[in-house]
Amino acid sequence: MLEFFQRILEANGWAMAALGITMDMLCLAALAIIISRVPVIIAFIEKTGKPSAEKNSTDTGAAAADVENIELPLPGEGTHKIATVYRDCAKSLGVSFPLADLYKVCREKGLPHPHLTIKSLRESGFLVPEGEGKFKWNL
Amino acid sequence: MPKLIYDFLHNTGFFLTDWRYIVMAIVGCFFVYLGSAKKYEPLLLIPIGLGIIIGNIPFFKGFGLGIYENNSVLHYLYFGVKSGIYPSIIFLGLGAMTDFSSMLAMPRLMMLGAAAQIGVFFTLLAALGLGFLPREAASIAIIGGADGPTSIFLTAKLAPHLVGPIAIAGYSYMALIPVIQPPIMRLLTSRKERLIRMPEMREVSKKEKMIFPVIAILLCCYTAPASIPLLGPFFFGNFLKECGEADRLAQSARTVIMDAATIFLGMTVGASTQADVFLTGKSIGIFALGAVAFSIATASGIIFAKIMNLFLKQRINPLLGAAGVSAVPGSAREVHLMGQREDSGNYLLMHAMACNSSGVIGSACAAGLLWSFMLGS
Repeated sequence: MLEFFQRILEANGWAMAALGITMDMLCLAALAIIISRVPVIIAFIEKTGKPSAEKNSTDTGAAAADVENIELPLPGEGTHKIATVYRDCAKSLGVSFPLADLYKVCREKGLPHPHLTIKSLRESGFLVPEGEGKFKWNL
Repeated sequence: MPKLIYDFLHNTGFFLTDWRYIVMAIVGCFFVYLGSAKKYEPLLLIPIGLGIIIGNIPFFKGFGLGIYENNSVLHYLYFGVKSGIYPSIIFLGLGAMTDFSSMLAMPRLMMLGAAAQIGVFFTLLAALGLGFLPREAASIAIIGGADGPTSIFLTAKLAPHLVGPIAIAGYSYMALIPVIQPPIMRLLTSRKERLIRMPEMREVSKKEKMIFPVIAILLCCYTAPASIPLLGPFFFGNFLKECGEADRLAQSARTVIMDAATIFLGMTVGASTQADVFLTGKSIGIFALGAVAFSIATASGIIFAKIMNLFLKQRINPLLGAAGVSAVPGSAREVHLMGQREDSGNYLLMHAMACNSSGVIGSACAAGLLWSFMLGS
């Protein structure tokens, strides 16, 4: 057993392993920190950039127009009403659809907080999995 | 005429064979069986299996037939392995295939890919302690990264005589993920932990996906310049995919170019397992240490996820740690299936893919670091 550790020591193994693990983890940690800031930086650049700002205002305008056409449920009207609104908005998707498509459609129509709403619809059983990554309405 | 017949018969494989060639031919057939009938990593195991069969047909030496004989066709094809060309090309294709969205949506999962590399460095210690030379120990240790091309690349650079056993060990364990990983996952996690649901991921913009490979190539390659031959093509391929303006190149990289490299890599690595070179005590040691490396890598990912949970508000399902090894997508699939066995509504696949993708980066960095440590030895 002593020989085992002796061989590691002679080959400078402890130092190599310690440095290797540290460097590998530091490298990926730094990468993780940097990429977690990228969306913030992009948002900042887009906000300060004139052409982007114009584009954003046009997008927001279009979205706002869409929202006006959709009858949104009032607070307290319940998840069932929200599910009905979402189902009507996403009629074009057919009977079964991936959640990503539903999210896309809802975003295009300018519905507020589609991500959280779809999550709550899933949890309350209005959206049920049909297998192979697809979901259907349960209303 | 009788002398001619006598000489001819003495030069046939039937006359020259011995038990070692027959054992290796059976191993080759087993790989082909696993790949074609059991569908375990068929794109790798079928070329390697047939390569083993080809490489273990006995022949008369000195005629330029074997993979280790100068001027033979196999020898020229094997140059792509020895020089590290095939692994680099495969990384180019992998980059053009990989979607980093899930990793970019939840960057903290990258730490699980880094944690799984602990297995690599633990195995380095074990191999050194068992008396392997430092360069051989580093080549054996990288099996823990569970990345075939990375293992082959590093071994070709540090201990070319071990390419055959290390490649076979690495790919065997990758194919055996459904057998090796689930018991470790079950052993190290409670049912309550396996039931943890992960939050849905945010949508990642195209700009983020385009910026990522540029940042990653700079950061990783500045930290471990020896990983340039792997990570350089990897992120280059990924940028081709994400920028959308060079889709033709990305399409070629992830299909024909990568497929050609995979065929030649698999076949020549298989053929390099010539019985007289392969069936040695060292190979058995490599297989044993490979299993240790792979198991420790899986376990360290899971344990690290549990440690992270002590500090995080939004807890991580520790099963995801097992996907920190870079066996894409086998280990991610296994994590997802394990989660679904406990709760059929628990979808862990995309989160596991995030760990898997960071595992690829982590193992290539580890290979670069090991190579740079060995420059002086």
